[in-house]
Amino acid sequence: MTELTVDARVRERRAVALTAALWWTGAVAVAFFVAQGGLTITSPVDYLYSLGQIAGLVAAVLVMNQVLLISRVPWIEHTLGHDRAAVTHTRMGKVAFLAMLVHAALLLIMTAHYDGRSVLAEIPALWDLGWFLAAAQAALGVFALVVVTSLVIVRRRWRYESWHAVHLCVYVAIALALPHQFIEGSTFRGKGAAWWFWLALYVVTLGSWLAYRVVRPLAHARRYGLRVSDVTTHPDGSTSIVMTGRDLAGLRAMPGQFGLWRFLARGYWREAHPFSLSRIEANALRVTVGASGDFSSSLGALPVGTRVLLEGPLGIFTARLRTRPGVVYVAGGIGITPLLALLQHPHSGPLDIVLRASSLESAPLRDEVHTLAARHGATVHEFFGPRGEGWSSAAEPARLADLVAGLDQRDVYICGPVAWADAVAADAVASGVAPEAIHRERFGWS
Amino acid sequence: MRASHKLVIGGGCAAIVAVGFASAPPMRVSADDVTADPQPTASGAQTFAGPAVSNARGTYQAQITVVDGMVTDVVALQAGTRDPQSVAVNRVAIPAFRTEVLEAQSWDVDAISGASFTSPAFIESLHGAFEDAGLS
Repeated sequence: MTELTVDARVRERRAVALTAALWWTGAVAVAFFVAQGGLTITSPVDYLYSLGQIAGLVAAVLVMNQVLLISRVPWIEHTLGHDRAAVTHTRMGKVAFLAMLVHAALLLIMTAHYDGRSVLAEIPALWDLGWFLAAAQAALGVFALVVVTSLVIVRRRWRYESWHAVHLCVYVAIALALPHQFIEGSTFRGKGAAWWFWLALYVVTLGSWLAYRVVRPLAHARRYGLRVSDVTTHPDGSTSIVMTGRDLAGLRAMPGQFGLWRFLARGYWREAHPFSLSRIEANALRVTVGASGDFSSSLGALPVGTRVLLEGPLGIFTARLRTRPGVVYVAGGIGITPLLALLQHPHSGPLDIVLRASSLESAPLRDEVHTLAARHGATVHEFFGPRGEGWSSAAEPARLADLVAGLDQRDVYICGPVAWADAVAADAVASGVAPEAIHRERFGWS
Repeated sequence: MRASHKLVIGGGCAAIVAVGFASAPPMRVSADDVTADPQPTASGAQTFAGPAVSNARGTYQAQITVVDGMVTDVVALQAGTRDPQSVAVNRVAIPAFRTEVLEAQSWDVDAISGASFTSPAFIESLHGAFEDAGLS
C-alpha cells in the first residue's frame, strides 16, 4: 500500500520537476546571453535594448517548449499527462506572447532612438537590414491575430474546428519568426555551450514534433492498417466507431487512454479529434463520441472501410494511477467512455460507479455500464435531471461520502466536463480523499 | 499550479540568470573602445585612411599604418553606431579584421561571421586604404 502511495508522489514530483525544467530553459537562454557579454551597455538607456533582446530569447524558448509540449512525445505524455501538458502549453503561450510584444516594442523604440528616426519610420527602415526582419514583423502580426481570434473563439464558444484552424496559423508564424533568430539574433553567435543549447532546443523540439505528429501516425497506419469497421449511433445520441487492424497489441493501448483520430474520408480528414477508447480488444478499438459539435454528430455517416490515422494512444488516466485498494468511477455524460474501457478489465477491491447525465435517455451506453457493473458486483449510483448546487442533480443533492463508505480507501477517477469535474474533485477532497488518489481526465483543446 | 511550485520555478530561474551574470564579462563598454582617433605616427610610419562607407548599420572607415611597405596596424576611425548591438558586434569584428589583415597583408580577407553589415563596408574601406598606400 505505502509503496503505491509513494509511487503517486514520485510521479507528481516528476511532473513538477519537468514543468519547472521547461520554464528554466528560458532562464538558461538568458544566462547564456548574459554570460557571453550580451549585455553591452554604453549608456543607461541601453538596458532597455538588452531587455528587449532578452524578451525575444525568452519568447523563442517558450514557443519551442510549447511545440514540445504538444508534440505527443512519449516522455512528455507519460510524465505530465496530456491534459497537464496542454495547460502548461497555454500558460507558456501567454508568457511567450507578452515577451514577444515587449521584445518587438523595445527593440523598435530603441533602434528608432539610435537611428534618430520616429518609431513609425523605423518599421520600414528595419526591412533594409534584411528580409528576415520583415518576416519577423509579419510573424508578430500573425501571432497577434491568432491570440485575438483564439480569445474570441473561446469566449464565444465557437466550434473546436474554427479554433483549430486558427491555431494552425501559429506554425506559419513560427516559420516566419525563425530566420531572424538565426540571422539577426545573437542566438547562434559564438560557439560553446550556448551554441549546443540552442541546437538541442531546436532539434529536440522540431524533431519530436515531426516524429510523433507526422512520422509515427503514418508509420502506424502502415503497420496496423486501422480502418473503420462499424459505425453505430446509439438511442442516447452518442456514436460508437469500431476500428479494426492487424496486430493491434503492438499499440499497447491501455484502458482509460485516448487518441487523436483522423478519419481519411471526404469531409473528415482535415481534423484530428481527441476521443477516448471505450473498448479495447485484441484486433479492434472502439471510440464512443457524444453528440456535441457538428463534427461529432456527423460521425454517424462515416463510411465503413475509412482509413484512420491515430496519434496515440495518449493519456495516463489508467489503472496504473491506482493508490488504494478500492475505486470509485465518477462519470459526467460522455465522460463514461474511458471508464467503460477500464470496466472491461478485472478489478480488485470494492468498486462503485457514479453516473451523472442530463436525463436517463441521454446517458451514453447506460446498458453497457450496468452489464459491466454487474459483472464486477459494483454498485451504480445514478443522478439524472437538471444540475443543482454541487456535481449532483438538483432533484437529488448528493455527496460522495454519503454514497460510498470508506472513501479514504478508494481511488476516485473523474471524467466529465471541467466545471463539473472540479465540483466532484472538491467534494472528494472534502470527504477525505487524498489528492494523490484523485485522478482526472480533462478534455482540453490542444 | 501551487504557490510552492511557482516559488521553485521562479527561484530556479533567478538562480540560473544569476549564474549568467556572475560569469559575464564587464557590461559597460564605450563606443570609443571600438574606434580610434587619428594619432601622430612614429617616424617612418605612414597612415592611410580608406573612404567612409555607409550602410543600414552605420558608417565604417578603416585606417592602416604602413612601415616599409608592411601593414603594421589596422584601426577603425568609424564603426557602426552607438547602438549597443552595433558596439557589441564591432568590438569583436574590428580586432578580428586587424588580425586577418596583418596576417594576410591584404585588404582581401574573409568576412567575419556575425558581422554581415560591418564586413563588406569595412573591407571596402580597407581596399581604398590599401590603394592609397599603393599596396594593391
